[in-house]
Amino acid sequence: MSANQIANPQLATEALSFLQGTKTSEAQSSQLADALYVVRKLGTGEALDSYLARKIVEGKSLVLTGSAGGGKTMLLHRIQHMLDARPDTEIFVTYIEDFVACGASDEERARTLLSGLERGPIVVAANEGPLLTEAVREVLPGVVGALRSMQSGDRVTQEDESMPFVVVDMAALDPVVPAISQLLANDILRAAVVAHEAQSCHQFVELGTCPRVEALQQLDVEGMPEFVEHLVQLGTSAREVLFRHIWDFVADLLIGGSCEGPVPTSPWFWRLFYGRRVIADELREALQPQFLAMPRGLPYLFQADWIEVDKWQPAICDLVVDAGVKPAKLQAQEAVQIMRWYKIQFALLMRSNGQRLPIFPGEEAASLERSVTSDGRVDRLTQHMNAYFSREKVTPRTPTDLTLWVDTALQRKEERSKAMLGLGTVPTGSLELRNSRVVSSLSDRTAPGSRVFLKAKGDSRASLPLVPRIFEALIRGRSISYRDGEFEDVDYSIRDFYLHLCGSNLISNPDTLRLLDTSGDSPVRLTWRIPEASHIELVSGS
Amino acid sequence: MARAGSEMQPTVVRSVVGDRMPNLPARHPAKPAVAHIVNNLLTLSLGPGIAKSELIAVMRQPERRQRLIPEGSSQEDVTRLGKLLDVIYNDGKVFGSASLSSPIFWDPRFLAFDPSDDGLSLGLWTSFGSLGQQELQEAATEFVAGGISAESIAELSGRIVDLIGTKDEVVGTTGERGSEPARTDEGTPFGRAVASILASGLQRGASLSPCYRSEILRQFGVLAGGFAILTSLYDAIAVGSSAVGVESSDEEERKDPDDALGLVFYTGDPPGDLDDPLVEISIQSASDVMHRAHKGVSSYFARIVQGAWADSKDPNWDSFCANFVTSVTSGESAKLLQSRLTEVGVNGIEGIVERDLSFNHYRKLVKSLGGRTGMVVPRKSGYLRFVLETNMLTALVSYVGRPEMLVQDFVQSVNQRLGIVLGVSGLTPQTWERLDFLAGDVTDIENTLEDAELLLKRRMIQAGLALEFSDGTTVLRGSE
Repeated sequence: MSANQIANPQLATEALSFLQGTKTSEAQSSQLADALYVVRKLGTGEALDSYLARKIVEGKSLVLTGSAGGGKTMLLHRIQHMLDARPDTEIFVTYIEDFVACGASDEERARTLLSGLERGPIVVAANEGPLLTEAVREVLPGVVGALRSMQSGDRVTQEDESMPFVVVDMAALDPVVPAISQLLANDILRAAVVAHEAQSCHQFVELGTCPRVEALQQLDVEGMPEFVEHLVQLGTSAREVLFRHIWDFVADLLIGGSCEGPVPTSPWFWRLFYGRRVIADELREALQPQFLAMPRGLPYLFQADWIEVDKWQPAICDLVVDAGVKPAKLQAQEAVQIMRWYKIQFALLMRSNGQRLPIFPGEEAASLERSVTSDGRVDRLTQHMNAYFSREKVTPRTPTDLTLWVDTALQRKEERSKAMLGLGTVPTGSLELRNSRVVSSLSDRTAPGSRVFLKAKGDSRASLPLVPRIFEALIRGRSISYRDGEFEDVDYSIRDFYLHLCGSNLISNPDTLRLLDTSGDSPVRLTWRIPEASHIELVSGS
Repeated sequence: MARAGSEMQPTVVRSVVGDRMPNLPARHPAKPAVAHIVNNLLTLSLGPGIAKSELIAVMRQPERRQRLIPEGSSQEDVTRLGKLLDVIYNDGKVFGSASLSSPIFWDPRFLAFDPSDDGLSLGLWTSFGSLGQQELQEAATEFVAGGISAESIAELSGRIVDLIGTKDEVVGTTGERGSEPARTDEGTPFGRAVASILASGLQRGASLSPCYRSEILRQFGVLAGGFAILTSLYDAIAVGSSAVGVESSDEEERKDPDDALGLVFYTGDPPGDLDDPLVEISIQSASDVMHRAHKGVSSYFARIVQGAWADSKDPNWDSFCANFVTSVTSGESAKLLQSRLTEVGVNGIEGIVERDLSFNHYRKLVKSLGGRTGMVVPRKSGYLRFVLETNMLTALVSYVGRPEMLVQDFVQSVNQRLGIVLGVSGLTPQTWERLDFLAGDVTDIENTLEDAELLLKRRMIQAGLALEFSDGTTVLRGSE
C-alpha cells in the first residue's frame, strides 16, 4: 500500500462504507478494488491475474466458474483493468459478467458467446449449471470436461493446454489463504478502522486510542496473520467457504463489537471466536478456546499483576491489550469472560511468537488432516487407514504400506463384519496426493485447488477424495455396529478406492490372501500364499 | 379330504395367482437371503457349475481342507484355513448340505441351485420373461468371462476345483440351467424392466477390472434382493387392479411403475427421525403400497376363482372346487386348496388370502429381505419404511445411473423405471395425487419431496457417488 493511499482519507471512508455495506465487487470504485485486491500467486511466482491476462493477449478466452460470491466478478474486473492499462496491447475482449443474464434461453446465451468469440477472446463469469447444457457445450467445447477433470484432481493434459479456453474454477481457490493475512495487514482497511473509531468510539475520541485500535498492533507481529489464517483453515475445513464469507468475517473482526464495558468485544482476537459471523461460530466450535490451558500465567492475569506477567512472558507482554479491570474484582461471570479474553490474546501472541504452547484443544483433532493435506504426509494417512480397519491405535510401528482390507459380506447385518479379507498391500510410494486444479492449463502444483485426493500413481480410477469426514472417521475409529450408520459413506468410498487399487497392478504381493480377525482382544492377521502348482501356505500369523 | 388345519399355507394362494404374481412369500418369509437370490439368479443365467459340493466339503470338513495345505500342517493351520474360506465364501448361508448352501459367488464353477429362497429368484426370473432372461444370460456370460475376483481368490478357487480330480469336467459350467421355467413366458412389465437394469449393470461392469467386478456382483445381489420385493409389490398391484381377468391386459402392460407403486423412500441417513415429515410420508407410503399389493392379491385370487365358477357348467360348488384345483395345481397343494375353497364357500373366497397369506405374512417378507438388502428399516420393531442404506444407494447409482448424469435425471429415471420416489423429479399426476392425500395435514408434500432430493444429493456427495459444482449442480461420478 503506497503512502498516498494511506493519506487518502476518502479511500479510507470508502473502505469503511464497503465494510459496513454489502461487500460486493460492484460496491467498490476501481481504486478501492485495486487496493483491496487479494493477489494469488501461482507456483511459478507469477500472479494468477497476470497469467490470465497474458493468456488473453495470446488469444485464449477465459471461463471463470464458481458460486456467487466466489470472486469471479472481482477477478474479471481485475483482468479488465490490467488489459485496459496496457497501451501496447490492441485486443478486443468481450466481458460477460453474468452469463445467466446474457440471454433468456440456453440458445440465446450460446449465441451471445458465439458472437463474442467471433470478435476475439471472451471472458465470461458463469455458474457451472448453465454450462452443462448442449447448446452451450457446443460453443465452449471441452470446457465442462476440463472442469470435471480439474475438480477430480486429474493431471493436466496436452489437450487442456491446447484448448482455446482457459477454465478457472474459483470454487477451488482456497478462500482463506492468503486472503485473511493480506486483508488483516491491509493499510487501507486499518485506516478504515481508525475512521470508524473516530466516528463511534468515545474512548478513541477522548484518549486517541481504544482496545480495538490497540489490538490491531498485534497483527503486525511477524507470523500473527499467518497463524490466524492457519486457525481459520482448521476451523472451517468441514464447509465450503466463499470469498464473500471471508469479507463478512474480516469486516466483523475489524469493526464489529464495542470497546465499552469490562469485557470489550471489539478487539479482533475476541471476534475471531466470539464475533457475529458463522466462521467465528465454527472456529469456536472446532477449536474450543474456552478450554485453553495456561496454568503458569493464570494467577497473575487474575490479579492483573502485570509485573509478574512481564516476567512470565517478557517478549509479548508489551503487546497485550489491558482491559483496565482486575478480573479478581469482577462478578464471577464477567471474571470468566475477561480471563478468556486474556487467555485468547496470550495464546495467539505466544504461538505466533514461536512457542509450542498453549494449543487450542481442537487443533489436535484437525492435525491429521493438516499434516496430510498441507504437509503431504501420505504415510500418516495410510497408517491411519490401516489402523482404522484393525481398530488399533496408530504407533510409529503401524505399517505405512496400505493393506486393502475389504468386507466380503453381501447382505446387510446388524453389525459390521469382524473378519475382513486383505486383497494385498500397496506400497506407500505407489500412492500420491493430488490437488484439484484452479486453472485448466496449469498443473496442480502450479495452481493447486483446495480439494485433495489420494490417488494411485498411473491409475486415474483409483482416487479417494480426502473430505473432512474421512479424517473424522479415521480419528474416531471404525464403529462395530451399523445401527447409527455413522461414517458408512466413508467405509464405502474407501472400499471403492481399494477395489480400484486391487485392479491397478500396484499390489506388491498378488499371490497372497490376508485375513484380519478383530473379534478378539487384539487383532489377528494371517497371511496365506498361493504359489503356482503347489499347496496353499500359511506364511505368517499374529 | 385333506384338512389344512389352522397353519398358514401360502401355497394355497400361490397356486392360484402364482402365474402372474410369482414373487409372493412362501411359508418362511424371513428365510430368503441375498446370497440365495444372487446364487440362484446366476445359476439360472449361467447354468450350474460342478464344484459347489467340493467347495462346501472343503469349508465344512477339516479333513478335506487338509488336502489344500502342505502335508504335516498343524490342526490349527487347518482351522485357520477354514476361517479364511469362511471370510471369502460364506455370507452366513453355507451349511453342511451343499444343496442347501449359497456360497458367495466368486467362480461360476461353484454355482448350483439352492431352494432356500422359497422360490423368490425363480419368481423373479419368471417375471423377466424370455427376452429379459436372454438379456441377463448374455450379460452375465460376458461379465464372468474376464474373471470376477482378485487374482489370489481366483487361484484359491482353482485349487479347490482341482481337488475334484476330474479335470476333464472342469470346463466352467454345464449347459443345463436346473429348474429353469419355460422360456416362452412373457414375464411382467416390471420384471422386464428389472432384468434390463440388472443386465445393463453387468454389461457396463464388464469393462472394469476383475477385482472391481466383485463389487458389481455385490451390487447385483443387493439389487436383485430389493427388486424381488418391488416386483412382488408391483405385480400384485398391477394385476390386482387390472380390469379383466386371467390374461395379461393392455391396461396392465401400460401400468407405469410410478402409477402402480409410487413408493416414497426416505433418502436421508437411515433410519431417520420419526418426527421428520419425510420419514412420516415414507411410513405412510410403505403402508399404502403394501396394503394395495395385498388387496391386489386378494382381489385377483377371488376374480380367478369366481370367473372359473361363473364359466363352469357345474352347479355344485364342491365338485367345481375338485375340478378347479386340479386345473391350477396338483398334489398336496391341490388338496389344501380344495379344502379351503369348500370350507369358505363361494362368498368367502377373499378370506382365504387373509388366512393363508395374511398382510402380516406379506409384510414379513418385505421387512426381512428388505432389511437384508438395505432397503427397509427398522430391522426389529417399529414403523416400516423404505430407505437407501449406503449399500443399496451405491448399487442403485451404479446400475441405474450414468457418469455425468444430473442427480435430478437419476431421480427421474429411478422413478420411471422402478416406481421409487426419491424426490420431485418425474412424478406422474396420479402419484402426486396419492402422495398429497397420504400427506394430509402432516406436511406439504412438494416441500417434503424437494427436501428428499436435497438429502439424497448430500448423501451421494458424501459417499463419493456424485460431484457437486459450486452452484449446486450435481452430477454422478460413475465407476467407468
